[in-house]
Amino acid sequence: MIRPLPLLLGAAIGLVACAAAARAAAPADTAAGFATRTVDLPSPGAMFSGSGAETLNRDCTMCHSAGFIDRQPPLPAATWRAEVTKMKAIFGAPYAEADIPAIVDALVARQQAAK
Amino acid sequence: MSETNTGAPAPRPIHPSRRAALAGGAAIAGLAALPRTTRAATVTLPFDNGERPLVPAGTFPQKGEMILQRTRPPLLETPFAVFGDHLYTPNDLAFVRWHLGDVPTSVDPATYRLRIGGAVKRPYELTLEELVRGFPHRRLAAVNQCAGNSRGLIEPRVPGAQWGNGAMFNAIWTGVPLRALLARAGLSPKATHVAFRSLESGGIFPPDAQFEKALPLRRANDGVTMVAFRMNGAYLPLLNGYPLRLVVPGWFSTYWMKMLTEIEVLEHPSTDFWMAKAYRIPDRQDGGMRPGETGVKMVPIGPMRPRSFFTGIANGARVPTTAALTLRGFGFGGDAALRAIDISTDAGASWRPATLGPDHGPYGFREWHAVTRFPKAGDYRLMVRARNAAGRMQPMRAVWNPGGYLYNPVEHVDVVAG
Ligand code: HEC
Repeated sequence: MIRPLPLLLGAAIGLVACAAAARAAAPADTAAGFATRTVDLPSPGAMFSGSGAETLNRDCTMCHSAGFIDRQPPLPAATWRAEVTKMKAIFGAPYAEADIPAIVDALVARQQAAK
Repeated sequence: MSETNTGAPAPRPIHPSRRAALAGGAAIAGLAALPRTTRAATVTLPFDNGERPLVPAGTFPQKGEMILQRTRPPLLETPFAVFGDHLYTPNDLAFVRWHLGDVPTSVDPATYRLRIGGAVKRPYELTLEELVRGFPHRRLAAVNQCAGNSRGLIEPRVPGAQWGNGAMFNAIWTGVPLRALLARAGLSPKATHVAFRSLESGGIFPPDAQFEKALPLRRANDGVTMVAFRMNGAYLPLLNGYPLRLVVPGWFSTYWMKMLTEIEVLEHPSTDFWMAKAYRIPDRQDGGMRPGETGVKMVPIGPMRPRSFFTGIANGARVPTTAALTLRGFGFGGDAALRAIDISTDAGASWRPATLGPDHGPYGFREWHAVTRFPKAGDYRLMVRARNAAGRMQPMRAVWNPGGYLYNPVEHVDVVAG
């Protein structure tokens, strides 16, 4: 069952094609009744638009969707700096050390613009 | 094949007649009535920047209408009203929480294996069939609650998933006790911990990331911790960990490894990021610290604490002065059985015991109710407080720690009598 999202909702959560549905499985190769299960997950449009979009789309949407960052509470610049540094140091985000101040500025400005 | 029933009955609704308005989780009530086909439904969780999409059933595979916290990797919150309707959370409404970007989307039972190895005498592996047919089963009710449940309510706010109170669910789990699996392997006398890995490992977002959690051996080998293959009698939804999930009753869900494929006995604590750096709390009785405090010894989070909630009554509700009103809700004890629920109608100045519903074992939700009167017209602040068998009681104020973990203060609802 593939149910397209209403347009507005699609925009709100940044889904391009919402094709999430459990495909009925062939019961043939079951072990103890376990069936092969394959699902589609909604593919996130995941993109930022508006304030800071260019920077944040490039640096912050590889590993998680944009909405997650937009749903963070208002955070001080120091906390954003710690997060952006952590994404690189621990998770291997591919931006350069030198890019971090500009990314932090973009995050702070975006939260201010959302107010 | 024996099946030990620890008293958990078949799933049944708490208040079948009523689509309960929500309490203890604030402003979702009322939105249930919106025509979802024509507009984007949202809910507003009770904190700054708390508006969230409510995605229709089927948006995520095998999932009903959920609060969207993150699309990829998915973080889906259970709408609080569900807990008023169901003591056992329906599988399609159970909250969802993944960490790494490339969530496995396919499970093939023909090739799926569970490997048991490390500091053991006889490492081995099992097909799903061998696991299910080769060991005794155990069945118990247990709450699966995210360590960061209710993080959005913590002040000062901290980054992370900004959950309301719905990053938890209650289910009946059927599985094989981990102790039986470890016994077959034969533990090395030097074993101290047991690490768990899953299909959510070796991904590329982030590069080479793996998700590993580890339990102290005593917890892993206590006969209660199990490898579950059924949730409320059905196979697990893929996003909740199909086909196998570790169940650690009484401990936070960070240990409940989904799509479990590997059990490795260690002779030392895990050094993986998710144990050594993340999911850590101050090594103090209450798990809290002052914001900005330095030099605090941090340790891996573990046991849950007691919590309790109102259902079916929302902030601002009108209550009668002329007739008795039955307040209702549910609670759980954390890592020890729920012992008592007390309620207050005067903002915590005085307390009296509520009546507990049937006991379904120490680890699951338990209903409570209390017949109450509001003799004089006016404003009342209702509170509910749980105490567990180890003597731990919900605090009046939340503790703070940098991860936003362990939120469990007394919940309240403000009503108007008259
Ligand atoms: C290389 C992968 C990667 C990139 C790129 C990345 N992140 Fe993350 N991020 C993660 C992972 C992994 C987590 C932990 C996810 C979880 O626990 O569910 C995370 C979590 C977060 C969190 C939650 C708090 C926390 O620390 O767990 C925030 C906020 C966040 N990221 C912001 C950002 C921002 C802003 C950017 C862009 C500058 C970014 N991320 C880029 C991998 C990445």
